[in-house]
Amino acid sequence: MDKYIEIKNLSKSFDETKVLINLNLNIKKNCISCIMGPSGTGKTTLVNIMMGLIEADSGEINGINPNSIGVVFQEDRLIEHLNAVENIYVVNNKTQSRENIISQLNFLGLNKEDIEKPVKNLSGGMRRRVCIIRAILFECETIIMDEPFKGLDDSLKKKVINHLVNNRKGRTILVITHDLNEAKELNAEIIDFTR
Amino acid sequence: MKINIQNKKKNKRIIKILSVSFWLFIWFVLSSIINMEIILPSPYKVVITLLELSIKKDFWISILLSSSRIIIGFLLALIVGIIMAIISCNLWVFETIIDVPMKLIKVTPIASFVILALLWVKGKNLSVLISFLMVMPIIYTNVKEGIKTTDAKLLEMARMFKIKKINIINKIYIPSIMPHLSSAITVGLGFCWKSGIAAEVIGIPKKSIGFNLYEAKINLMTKEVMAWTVVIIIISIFFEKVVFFIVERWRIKWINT
Repeated sequence: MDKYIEIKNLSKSFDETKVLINLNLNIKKNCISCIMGPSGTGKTTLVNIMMGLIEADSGEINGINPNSIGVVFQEDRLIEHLNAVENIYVVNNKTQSRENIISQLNFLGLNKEDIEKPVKNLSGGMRRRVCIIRAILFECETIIMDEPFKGLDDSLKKKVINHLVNNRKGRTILVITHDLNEAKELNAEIIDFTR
Repeated sequence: MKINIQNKKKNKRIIKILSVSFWLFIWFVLSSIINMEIILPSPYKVVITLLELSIKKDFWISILLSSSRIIIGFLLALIVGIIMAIISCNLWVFETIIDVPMKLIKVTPIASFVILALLWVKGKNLSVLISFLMVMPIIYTNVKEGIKTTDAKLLEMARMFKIKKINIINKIYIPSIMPHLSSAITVGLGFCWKSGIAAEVIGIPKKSIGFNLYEAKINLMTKEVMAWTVVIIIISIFFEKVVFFIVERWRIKWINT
Protein backbone atom coordinates (compact mmCIF):
# COMPACT_ATOMS: atom_id res chain seq x y z
CA MET A 1 0.00 0.00 0.00
CA ASP A 2 1.22 3.50 -0.86
CA LYS A 3 2.51 5.54 2.01
CA TYR A 4 1.97 8.80 0.19
CA ILE A 5 -0.45 10.59 -2.01
CA GLU A 6 1.88 11.49 -4.85
CA ILE A 7 1.36 14.62 -6.87
CA LYS A 8 3.53 14.73 -9.97
CA ASN A 9 4.09 17.71 -12.29
CA LEU A 10 0.59 19.02 -11.69
CA SER A 11 -0.38 22.16 -13.62
CA LYS A 12 -3.62 24.05 -13.83
CA SER A 13 -4.52 27.39 -15.42
CA PHE A 14 -7.74 29.36 -15.46
CA ASP A 15 -7.79 31.38 -18.68
CA GLU A 16 -4.44 33.17 -18.64
CA THR A 17 -3.76 32.71 -14.92
CA LYS A 18 -1.45 29.85 -14.06
CA VAL A 19 -2.50 28.64 -10.63
CA LEU A 20 -0.43 25.46 -10.34
CA ILE A 21 2.82 25.06 -12.27
CA ASN A 22 4.48 21.64 -12.30
CA LEU A 23 3.64 20.96 -8.67
CA ASN A 24 5.41 17.97 -7.12
CA LEU A 25 4.30 16.96 -3.67
CA ASN A 26 4.05 13.93 -1.40
CA ILE A 27 1.33 13.94 1.22
CA LYS A 28 1.68 11.37 4.01
CA LYS A 29 -1.25 8.99 4.11
CA ASN A 30 -3.08 8.15 7.34
CA CYS A 31 -1.80 11.37 8.90
CA ILE A 32 -3.06 14.91 9.27
CA SER A 33 -1.49 17.44 6.90
CA CYS A 34 -2.12 21.15 6.66
CA ILE A 35 -1.70 23.06 3.42
CA MET A 36 -0.79 26.61 4.34
CA GLY A 37 -0.14 29.69 2.28
CA PRO A 38 -1.62 32.99 1.18
CA SER A 39 -4.73 33.28 -0.98
CA GLY A 40 -4.34 32.63 -4.67
CA THR A 41 -1.55 30.09 -4.37
CA GLY A 42 -3.68 27.21 -5.62
CA LYS A 43 -4.55 25.38 -2.38
CA THR A 44 -8.26 25.04 -3.15
CA THR A 45 -7.48 24.27 -6.80
CA LEU A 46 -5.23 21.41 -5.70
CA VAL A 47 -7.84 19.82 -3.44
CA ASN A 48 -10.55 20.30 -6.08
CA ILE A 49 -8.34 18.34 -8.52
CA MET A 50 -7.74 15.68 -5.84
CA MET A 51 -11.51 15.36 -5.35
CA GLY A 52 -12.10 15.09 -9.10
CA LEU A 53 -14.18 18.26 -9.19
CA ILE A 54 -11.91 19.90 -11.74
CA GLU A 55 -9.41 18.45 -14.17
CA ALA A 56 -5.72 19.28 -14.19
CA ASP A 57 -4.16 20.55 -17.41
CA SER A 58 -1.28 18.11 -16.95
CA GLY A 59 0.36 15.91 -14.36
CA GLU A 60 -1.01 13.15 -12.18
CA ILE A 61 -2.09 12.27 -8.68
CA ASN A 62 -1.58 8.76 -7.34
CA GLY A 63 -2.54 7.08 -4.10
CA ILE A 64 -5.94 8.68 -3.52
CA ASN A 65 -9.34 7.18 -4.18
CA PRO A 66 -11.54 10.05 -5.39
CA ASN A 67 -14.60 7.91 -4.67
CA SER A 68 -13.83 7.78 -0.96
CA ILE A 69 -13.41 11.36 0.18
CA GLY A 70 -15.33 13.21 2.88
CA VAL A 71 -15.27 16.96 2.45
CA VAL A 72 -15.70 20.17 4.36
CA PHE A 73 -16.04 22.67 1.56
CA GLN A 74 -14.98 26.30 1.86
CA GLU A 75 -18.68 27.18 1.62
CA ASP A 76 -20.94 25.12 3.87
CA ARG A 77 -22.93 23.44 1.09
CA LEU A 78 -25.70 22.35 3.42
CA ILE A 79 -29.25 21.61 2.29
CA GLU A 80 -30.78 24.76 3.72
CA HIS A 81 -34.34 23.61 4.46
CA LEU A 82 -33.22 20.47 6.30
CA ASN A 83 -32.14 20.48 9.93
CA ALA A 84 -28.64 19.55 11.08
CA VAL A 85 -29.44 15.88 11.74
CA GLU A 86 -31.08 15.36 8.34
CA ASN A 87 -28.18 17.10 6.58
CA ILE A 88 -25.81 14.57 8.10
CA TYR A 89 -28.16 11.61 7.90
CA VAL A 90 -28.77 12.08 4.17
CA VAL A 91 -25.09 11.36 3.48
CA ASN A 92 -24.67 8.69 6.15
CA ASN A 93 -27.98 6.85 6.24
CA LYS A 94 -26.44 3.44 5.83
CA THR A 95 -23.79 3.77 8.51
CA GLN A 96 -25.08 6.15 11.17
CA SER A 97 -28.15 6.29 13.34
CA ARG A 98 -29.91 9.58 14.01
CA GLU A 99 -29.19 9.08 17.72
CA ASN A 100 -25.44 8.97 17.08
CA ILE A 101 -25.60 12.05 14.90
CA ILE A 102 -27.55 13.90 17.61
CA SER A 103 -25.03 12.92 20.28
CA GLN A 104 -22.14 14.18 18.12
CA LEU A 105 -23.94 17.46 17.49
CA ASN A 106 -24.69 17.80 21.21
CA PHE A 107 -21.05 17.15 22.00
CA LEU A 108 -20.01 20.07 19.79
CA GLY A 109 -22.47 22.38 21.50
CA LEU A 110 -25.62 22.26 19.39
CA ASN A 111 -28.61 21.89 21.69
CA LYS A 112 -31.98 20.28 20.98
CA GLU A 113 -33.47 23.55 19.77
CA ASP A 114 -30.59 24.20 17.33
CA ILE A 115 -30.78 20.66 16.00
CA GLU A 116 -34.46 20.95 15.14
CA LYS A 117 -34.10 24.20 13.17
CA PRO A 118 -33.50 24.23 9.42
CA VAL A 119 -29.77 24.90 9.01
CA LYS A 120 -30.53 28.19 7.24
CA ASN A 121 -31.47 29.52 10.69
CA LEU A 122 -28.20 28.49 12.36
CA SER A 123 -25.22 30.78 12.98
CA GLY A 124 -22.08 30.50 10.82
CA GLY A 125 -20.18 28.67 13.56
CA MET A 126 -22.97 26.13 14.09
CA ARG A 127 -23.24 25.46 10.37
CA ARG A 128 -19.49 24.88 10.24
CA ARG A 129 -19.73 22.30 13.03
CA VAL A 130 -22.52 20.51 11.15
CA CYS A 131 -20.25 20.37 8.07
CA ILE A 132 -17.36 18.97 10.12
CA ILE A 133 -19.49 16.23 11.72
CA ARG A 134 -20.91 15.37 8.30
CA ALA A 135 -17.38 14.77 7.00
CA ILE A 136 -16.17 12.93 10.12
CA LEU A 137 -19.11 10.49 10.10
CA PHE A 138 -18.84 9.81 6.38
CA GLU A 139 -17.17 6.45 5.76
CA CYS A 140 -14.16 7.28 3.63
CA GLU A 141 -10.40 6.90 3.31
CA THR A 142 -9.59 10.61 3.12
CA ILE A 143 -11.10 13.78 4.57
CA ILE A 144 -10.37 17.07 2.84
CA MET A 145 -11.21 20.24 4.74
CA ASP A 146 -11.02 23.71 3.23
CA GLU A 147 -10.75 26.27 6.04
CA PRO A 148 -12.99 24.17 8.27
CA PHE A 149 -12.63 26.18 11.48
CA LYS A 150 -13.52 29.64 10.21
CA GLY A 151 -16.18 31.29 12.30
CA LEU A 152 -15.35 29.29 15.43
CA ASP A 153 -14.03 31.03 18.54
CA ASP A 154 -10.80 29.75 20.11
CA SER A 155 -12.28 27.50 22.81
CA LEU A 156 -14.78 25.97 20.40
CA LYS A 157 -12.07 25.53 17.78
CA LYS A 158 -10.01 23.56 20.31
CA LYS A 159 -12.96 21.32 21.11
CA VAL A 160 -13.74 20.70 17.43
CA ILE A 161 -10.08 19.96 16.63
CA ASN A 162 -9.89 17.45 19.49
CA HIS A 163 -13.09 15.82 18.27
CA LEU A 164 -11.67 15.58 14.77
CA VAL A 165 -8.40 14.07 15.99
CA ASN A 166 -10.20 11.58 18.24
CA ASN A 167 -12.49 10.44 15.44
CA ARG A 168 -9.90 10.28 12.69
CA LYS A 169 -9.84 6.46 12.73
CA GLY A 170 -6.53 6.31 10.89
CA ARG A 171 -7.79 8.22 7.90
CA THR A 172 -5.78 10.73 5.89
CA ILE A 173 -6.86 14.25 6.72
CA LEU A 174 -5.87 17.20 4.60
CA VAL A 175 -6.70 20.64 5.97
CA ILE A 176 -6.33 23.97 4.20
CA THR A 177 -5.75 26.73 6.73
CA HIS A 178 -4.11 30.12 7.15
CA ASP A 179 -3.69 29.66 10.89
CA LEU A 180 -0.44 28.14 12.16
CA ASN A 181 -2.01 27.54 15.58
CA GLU A 182 -4.64 25.29 13.98
CA ALA A 183 -1.87 23.23 12.36
CA LYS A 184 -0.11 22.95 15.72
CA GLU A 185 -3.31 21.94 17.51
CA LEU A 186 -3.89 19.29 14.87
CA ASN A 187 -0.31 18.14 15.25
CA ALA A 188 -0.23 18.20 11.49
CA GLU A 189 2.50 18.01 8.93
CA ILE A 190 2.73 21.41 7.24
CA ILE A 191 2.79 21.78 3.50
CA ASP A 192 3.83 25.34 2.71
CA PHE A 193 2.34 26.87 -0.42
CA THR A 194 4.06 30.22 0.00
CA ARG A 195 5.81 31.01 -3.26
CA MET B 1 -46.28 45.21 16.46
CA LYS B 2 -48.92 42.48 16.21
CA ILE B 3 -51.70 45.07 16.51
CA ASN B 4 -50.03 47.12 13.80
CA ILE B 5 -49.94 44.19 11.38
CA GLN B 6 -53.57 43.34 12.16
CA ASN B 7 -54.58 46.98 11.58
CA LYS B 8 -52.71 47.03 8.29
CA LYS B 9 -54.51 43.86 7.16
CA LYS B 10 -57.87 45.28 8.22
CA ASN B 11 -57.17 48.56 6.39
CA LYS B 12 -56.12 46.68 3.27
CA ARG B 13 -59.39 44.72 3.33
CA ILE B 14 -61.43 47.92 3.76
CA ILE B 15 -59.58 49.59 0.86
CA LYS B 16 -60.19 46.52 -1.31
CA ILE B 17 -63.93 46.60 -0.55
CA LEU B 18 -64.02 50.35 -1.20
CA SER B 19 -62.18 49.89 -4.49
CA VAL B 20 -64.65 47.23 -5.69
CA SER B 21 -67.57 49.43 -4.55
CA PHE B 22 -66.07 52.39 -6.41
CA TRP B 23 -65.88 50.51 -9.71
CA LEU B 24 -69.37 49.09 -9.23
CA PHE B 25 -70.58 52.62 -8.66
CA ILE B 26 -68.85 53.82 -11.85
CA TRP B 27 -70.49 50.94 -13.74
CA PHE B 28 -73.85 51.85 -12.25
CA VAL B 29 -73.46 55.55 -13.16
CA LEU B 30 -72.36 54.74 -16.73
CA SER B 31 -75.26 52.33 -17.26
CA SER B 32 -77.68 54.99 -15.93
CA ILE B 33 -76.24 57.63 -18.28
CA ILE B 34 -76.29 55.32 -21.32
CA ASN B 35 -79.63 53.91 -20.24
CA MET B 36 -79.61 51.13 -22.85
CA GLU B 37 -79.50 47.58 -21.48
CA ILE B 38 -78.29 46.23 -24.77
CA ILE B 39 -75.08 48.30 -24.52
CA LEU B 40 -74.42 48.39 -20.80
CA PRO B 41 -76.82 46.80 -18.30
CA SER B 42 -76.62 47.91 -14.68
CA PRO B 43 -74.80 45.74 -12.11
CA TYR B 44 -78.15 45.08 -10.44
CA LYS B 45 -79.65 43.69 -13.67
CA VAL B 46 -76.58 41.50 -14.22
CA VAL B 47 -76.89 40.05 -10.71
CA ILE B 48 -80.59 39.34 -11.24
CA THR B 49 -79.80 37.64 -14.58
CA LEU B 50 -77.11 35.59 -12.86
CA LEU B 51 -79.58 34.47 -10.19
CA GLU B 52 -82.13 33.57 -12.85
CA LEU B 53 -79.54 31.54 -14.73
CA SER B 54 -78.36 29.78 -11.59
CA ILE B 55 -81.73 28.12 -10.98
CA LYS B 56 -81.52 26.35 -14.34
CA LYS B 57 -80.03 22.86 -14.52
CA ASP B 58 -78.20 23.64 -17.78
CA PHE B 59 -76.31 26.47 -16.10
CA TRP B 60 -74.61 24.05 -13.71
CA ILE B 61 -74.08 21.40 -16.38
CA SER B 62 -72.35 24.01 -18.59
CA ILE B 63 -70.10 25.07 -15.73
CA LEU B 64 -69.27 21.46 -14.87
CA LEU B 65 -68.49 20.43 -18.46
CA SER B 66 -66.43 23.54 -19.27
CA SER B 67 -64.51 23.32 -15.99
CA SER B 68 -63.75 19.65 -16.42
CA ARG B 69 -62.49 20.11 -19.99
CA ILE B 70 -60.28 23.04 -19.03
CA ILE B 71 -58.95 21.26 -15.93
CA ILE B 72 -58.15 18.12 -18.01
CA GLY B 73 -56.18 20.33 -20.43
CA PHE B 74 -54.41 21.96 -17.50
CA LEU B 75 -53.50 18.67 -15.80
CA LEU B 76 -52.24 17.21 -19.09
CA ALA B 77 -50.11 20.33 -19.59
CA LEU B 78 -48.77 20.00 -16.07
CA ILE B 79 -47.73 16.36 -16.53
CA VAL B 80 -46.34 16.73 -20.07
CA GLY B 81 -44.61 20.04 -19.24
CA ILE B 82 -42.80 18.53 -16.25
CA ILE B 83 -41.75 15.39 -18.16
CA MET B 84 -40.49 17.42 -21.13
CA ALA B 85 -38.55 19.78 -18.85
CA ILE B 86 -36.84 16.82 -17.16
CA ILE B 87 -35.92 15.27 -20.52
CA SER B 88 -34.70 18.65 -21.83
CA CYS B 89 -32.37 19.14 -18.88
CA ASN B 90 -30.82 15.72 -19.46
CA LEU B 91 -30.73 15.68 -23.26
CA TRP B 92 -29.57 18.87 -24.96
CA VAL B 93 -30.58 17.58 -28.41
CA PHE B 94 -34.17 17.19 -27.20
CA GLU B 95 -34.05 20.66 -25.64
CA THR B 96 -32.82 22.22 -28.89
CA ILE B 97 -35.51 20.45 -30.90
CA ILE B 98 -38.34 21.24 -28.49
CA ASP B 99 -37.39 24.89 -27.81
CA VAL B 100 -38.49 25.99 -31.29
CA PRO B 101 -42.13 24.83 -31.06
CA MET B 102 -42.32 26.04 -27.45
CA LYS B 103 -41.29 29.54 -28.49
CA LEU B 104 -43.68 29.41 -31.45
CA ILE B 105 -46.61 28.37 -29.25
CA LYS B 106 -45.85 31.26 -26.89
CA VAL B 107 -45.98 33.93 -29.59
CA THR B 108 -48.87 32.52 -31.67
CA PRO B 109 -52.24 34.23 -31.00
CA ILE B 110 -54.86 32.01 -29.33
CA ALA B 111 -57.35 32.68 -32.16
CA SER B 112 -54.96 31.22 -34.78
CA PHE B 113 -54.54 28.08 -32.70
CA VAL B 114 -58.26 27.70 -32.13
CA ILE B 115 -59.10 28.01 -35.83
CA LEU B 116 -56.33 25.57 -36.78
CA ALA B 117 -57.24 23.16 -34.02
CA LEU B 118 -60.88 23.14 -35.13
CA LEU B 119 -59.67 21.36 -38.26
CA TRP B 120 -58.13 18.60 -36.17
CA VAL B 121 -60.42 18.03 -33.17
CA LYS B 122 -64.13 18.14 -32.38
CA GLY B 123 -65.54 21.36 -30.91
CA LYS B 124 -66.12 19.83 -27.50
CA ASN B 125 -62.48 18.74 -27.19
CA LEU B 126 -61.13 22.02 -28.48
CA SER B 127 -60.88 23.66 -25.07
CA VAL B 128 -58.89 20.66 -23.74
CA LEU B 129 -56.35 21.04 -26.54
CA ILE B 130 -56.17 24.82 -26.34
CA SER B 131 -55.78 24.93 -22.54
CA PHE B 132 -53.10 22.26 -22.89
CA LEU B 133 -51.23 24.16 -25.60
CA MET B 134 -51.39 27.47 -23.76
CA VAL B 135 -50.27 26.15 -20.37
CA MET B 136 -47.71 23.50 -21.31
CA PRO B 137 -44.97 25.94 -22.46
CA ILE B 138 -45.36 27.91 -19.21
CA ILE B 139 -44.95 24.79 -17.08
CA TYR B 140 -42.12 23.51 -19.30
CA THR B 141 -40.15 26.78 -19.19
CA ASN B 142 -40.53 27.27 -15.44
CA VAL B 143 -39.71 23.70 -14.43
CA LYS B 144 -36.70 23.72 -16.76
CA GLU B 145 -35.56 26.97 -15.16
CA GLY B 146 -36.01 25.42 -11.70
CA ILE B 147 -33.90 22.38 -12.62
CA LYS B 148 -31.20 24.48 -14.27
CA THR B 149 -30.91 26.90 -11.38
CA THR B 150 -30.51 24.13 -8.81
CA ASP B 151 -27.40 24.95 -6.78
CA ALA B 152 -24.51 23.30 -8.68
CA LYS B 153 -22.31 23.35 -5.59
CA LEU B 154 -24.93 21.45 -3.65
CA LEU B 155 -25.07 18.87 -6.44
CA GLU B 156 -21.28 18.62 -6.30
CA MET B 157 -21.54 18.00 -2.55
CA ALA B 158 -24.15 15.30 -3.20
CA ARG B 159 -21.80 13.63 -5.68
CA MET B 160 -18.86 13.70 -3.27
CA PHE B 161 -20.92 12.24 -0.43
CA LYS B 162 -22.58 9.65 -2.70
CA ILE B 163 -26.09 10.78 -1.80
CA LYS B 164 -28.69 8.45 -3.30
CA LYS B 165 -30.37 9.66 -6.52
CA ILE B 166 -33.82 9.56 -4.92
CA ASN B 167 -32.60 11.82 -2.10
CA ILE B 168 -30.96 14.20 -4.56
CA ILE B 169 -34.31 14.51 -6.35
CA ASN B 170 -36.37 14.80 -3.16
CA LYS B 171 -34.15 17.03 -1.10
CA ILE B 172 -32.26 19.14 -3.63
CA TYR B 173 -34.06 19.26 -6.98
CA ILE B 174 -37.71 19.40 -5.87
CA PRO B 175 -37.27 22.25 -3.34
CA SER B 176 -35.45 24.17 -6.07
CA ILE B 177 -38.19 23.53 -8.65
CA MET B 178 -41.16 24.17 -6.33
CA PRO B 179 -41.21 28.00 -6.36
CA HIS B 180 -40.93 27.99 -10.17
CA LEU B 181 -43.65 25.37 -10.51
CA SER B 182 -45.89 27.17 -8.05
CA SER B 183 -45.76 30.45 -10.00
CA ALA B 184 -46.17 28.57 -13.30
CA ILE B 185 -49.32 26.91 -11.97
CA THR B 186 -50.80 30.23 -10.80
CA VAL B 187 -50.05 32.01 -14.09
CA GLY B 188 -51.00 28.95 -16.16
CA LEU B 189 -54.34 28.46 -14.47
CA GLY B 190 -55.52 31.99 -15.26
CA PHE B 191 -54.25 31.60 -18.80
CA CYS B 192 -55.93 28.25 -19.34
CA TRP B 193 -59.33 29.65 -18.30
CA LYS B 194 -59.08 32.57 -20.68
CA SER B 195 -57.89 30.44 -23.60
CA GLY B 196 -60.26 27.55 -22.82
CA ILE B 197 -63.33 29.80 -22.84
CA ALA B 198 -62.09 31.59 -25.99
CA ALA B 199 -61.81 28.16 -27.63
CA GLU B 200 -65.38 27.30 -26.58
CA VAL B 201 -66.72 30.57 -28.00
CA ILE B 202 -65.20 29.68 -31.37
CA GLY B 203 -65.79 25.91 -31.20
CA ILE B 204 -69.26 26.36 -29.62
CA PRO B 205 -69.66 22.91 -28.08
CA LYS B 206 -73.20 22.40 -26.68
CA LYS B 207 -73.64 22.81 -22.92
CA SER B 208 -70.56 24.87 -22.28
CA ILE B 209 -69.88 28.32 -20.90
CA GLY B 210 -68.48 29.39 -24.28
CA PHE B 211 -71.63 28.21 -26.09
CA ASN B 212 -73.82 30.18 -23.67
CA LEU B 213 -71.66 33.27 -24.11
CA TYR B 214 -71.87 32.92 -27.89
CA GLU B 215 -75.64 32.39 -27.83
CA ALA B 216 -76.12 35.42 -25.60
CA LYS B 217 -73.91 37.52 -27.87
CA ILE B 218 -75.64 36.67 -31.17
CA ASN B 219 -79.03 37.27 -29.56
CA LEU B 220 -77.79 40.60 -28.21
CA MET B 221 -78.48 39.50 -24.61
CA THR B 222 -75.83 41.72 -23.03
CA LYS B 223 -77.05 40.97 -19.48
CA GLU B 224 -76.42 37.27 -20.07
CA VAL B 225 -73.01 37.93 -21.64
CA MET B 226 -71.99 39.87 -18.55
CA ALA B 227 -73.51 37.32 -16.17
CA TRP B 228 -71.55 34.52 -17.84
CA THR B 229 -68.40 36.66 -17.71
CA VAL B 230 -68.93 37.08 -13.97
CA VAL B 231 -69.28 33.29 -13.70
CA ILE B 232 -65.98 32.79 -15.57
CA ILE B 233 -64.21 35.28 -13.29
CA ILE B 234 -65.58 33.64 -10.13
CA ILE B 235 -64.62 30.10 -11.24
CA SER B 236 -61.19 31.25 -12.37
CA ILE B 237 -60.47 32.94 -9.02
CA PHE B 238 -61.90 29.94 -7.15
CA PHE B 239 -59.64 27.47 -8.98
CA GLU B 240 -56.62 29.74 -8.64
CA LYS B 241 -57.12 29.99 -4.87
CA VAL B 242 -57.81 26.26 -4.44
CA VAL B 243 -54.82 25.17 -6.53
CA PHE B 244 -52.52 27.71 -4.88
CA PHE B 245 -53.65 26.45 -1.47
CA ILE B 246 -53.01 22.81 -2.48
CA VAL B 247 -49.58 23.59 -3.98
CA GLU B 248 -48.49 25.61 -0.95
CA ARG B 249 -49.65 22.89 1.46
CA TRP B 250 -47.83 20.27 -0.60
CA ARG B 251 -44.67 22.40 -0.74
CA ILE B 252 -44.62 22.95 3.03
CA LYS B 253 -45.37 19.28 3.69
CA TRP B 254 -42.59 18.25 1.32
CA ILE B 255 -40.04 20.52 2.99
CA ASN B 256 -41.07 19.40 6.47
CA THR B 257 -40.80 15.72 5.64
